[in-house]
Amino acid sequence: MIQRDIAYRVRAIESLSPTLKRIVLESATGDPLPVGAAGAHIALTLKCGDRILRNSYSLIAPSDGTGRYELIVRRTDPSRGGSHFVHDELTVGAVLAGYVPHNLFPSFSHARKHLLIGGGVGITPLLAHLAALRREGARVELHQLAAAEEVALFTQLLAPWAGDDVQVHGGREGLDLEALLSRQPLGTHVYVCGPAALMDRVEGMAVALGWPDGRIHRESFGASGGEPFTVRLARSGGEVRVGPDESMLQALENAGVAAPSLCRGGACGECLTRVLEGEPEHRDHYLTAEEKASGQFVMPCVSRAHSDMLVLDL
Amino acid sequence: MIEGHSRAIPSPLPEETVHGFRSASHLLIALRRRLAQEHMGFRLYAAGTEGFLWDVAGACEAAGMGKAEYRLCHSGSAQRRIFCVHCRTMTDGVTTNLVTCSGCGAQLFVRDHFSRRLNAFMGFQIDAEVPGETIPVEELYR
Ligand code: FES
Repeated sequence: MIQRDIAYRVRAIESLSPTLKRIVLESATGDPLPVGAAGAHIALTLKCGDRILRNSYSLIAPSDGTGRYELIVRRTDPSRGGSHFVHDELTVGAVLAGYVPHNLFPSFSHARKHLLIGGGVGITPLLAHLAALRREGARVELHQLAAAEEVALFTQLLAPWAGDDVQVHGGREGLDLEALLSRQPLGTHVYVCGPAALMDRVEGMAVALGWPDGRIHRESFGASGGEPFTVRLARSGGEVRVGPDESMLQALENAGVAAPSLCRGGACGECLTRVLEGEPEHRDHYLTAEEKASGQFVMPCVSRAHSDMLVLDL
Repeated sequence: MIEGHSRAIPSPLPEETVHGFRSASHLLIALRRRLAQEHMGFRLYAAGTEGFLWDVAGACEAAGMGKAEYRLCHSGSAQRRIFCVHCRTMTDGVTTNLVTCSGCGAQLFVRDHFSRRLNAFMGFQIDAEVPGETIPVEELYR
């Protein structure tokens, strides 16, 4: 079996803005790091006080033989836990446990054109795609949506690829999505990463304009908050309270429940759990519509509950 | 719409959205040019004979379209385009189980094996194994 765990050492930390930090990781053991293709992410285990969190971060540059992985971490408020630790406590030289890269957001080499749409820190995997696609000479266009005060920062991050087909738009209404999606040539694939609302908007608009399913790709980390609820563990007994700012998976992990996970973004299927009672609120992209409607399964990394109580086969 | 091979000039048709073409190859040239201008969300529906449909499908794929973006409906004759596996020549409009290759002249047996890449059914020499051994000619693909 392929080794999945890796010890990373923090090689550099660079403050990009009061809320954004660029982190460079290298192997802590000296063993070479596996290739992290554009679109890949790594999961890091972060110890925040007495809590242990596992967070996923996209690589912002394809890492083929560079021996390092680069990430950008936004300090969120309220933090899901990990970002405050990364911003306030992580120092150069620190060693972090984590996973090898996994890629659930790859680009499709047969695409005639790649349209990349980012929102806020969702730019991270798109930076890697832009670098890789430009290097291959592929046809690519990128639109980044940013809060007005971050336009300059993202413009600077994109400076190596500056051109007419790389644009940063300030404010939510800065980009005419319908016009953009209507003028794409046949064979275009669209990739969107950012807040769930933006990804839903892009996906909804593309579907409405007649884009086939297989041409719309979305990355999703961290849309985990919502109404609090309680999980009852049918096999092991016990109850776990899921707070408004944590995912069901995080709450289970904090309670010491051994729950499997990989992407932590509702894409890979690793965390699939059987539901015995209660009504899940599905937020994943793994289960089919029928499976969701059946209410028999839930992906705890992103999904929550419509009912106050969810009884899981754990 | 193909209007027959004899007509040299496309006929003026009542609506601007209907174009007449003097031949399938004429239509395919215009189609390829048109697809290069089209945008995501475009759908194509084609009806016609097997060979024509797969020519259209080829143009769609070449333009970057996927299977969800075009639909093919067979209508008209079931005649086959035959690819000679010996000399690689195409023979069009075949309605019988045996046909003389328009390239090398071999007596070809028309197989049910269809190649999407070549857009043709395979034909191989009927008496390749035992010279002179053949079967009666039947009209099967009208
Ligand atoms: S961990 Fe991948 S779907 Fe939940």
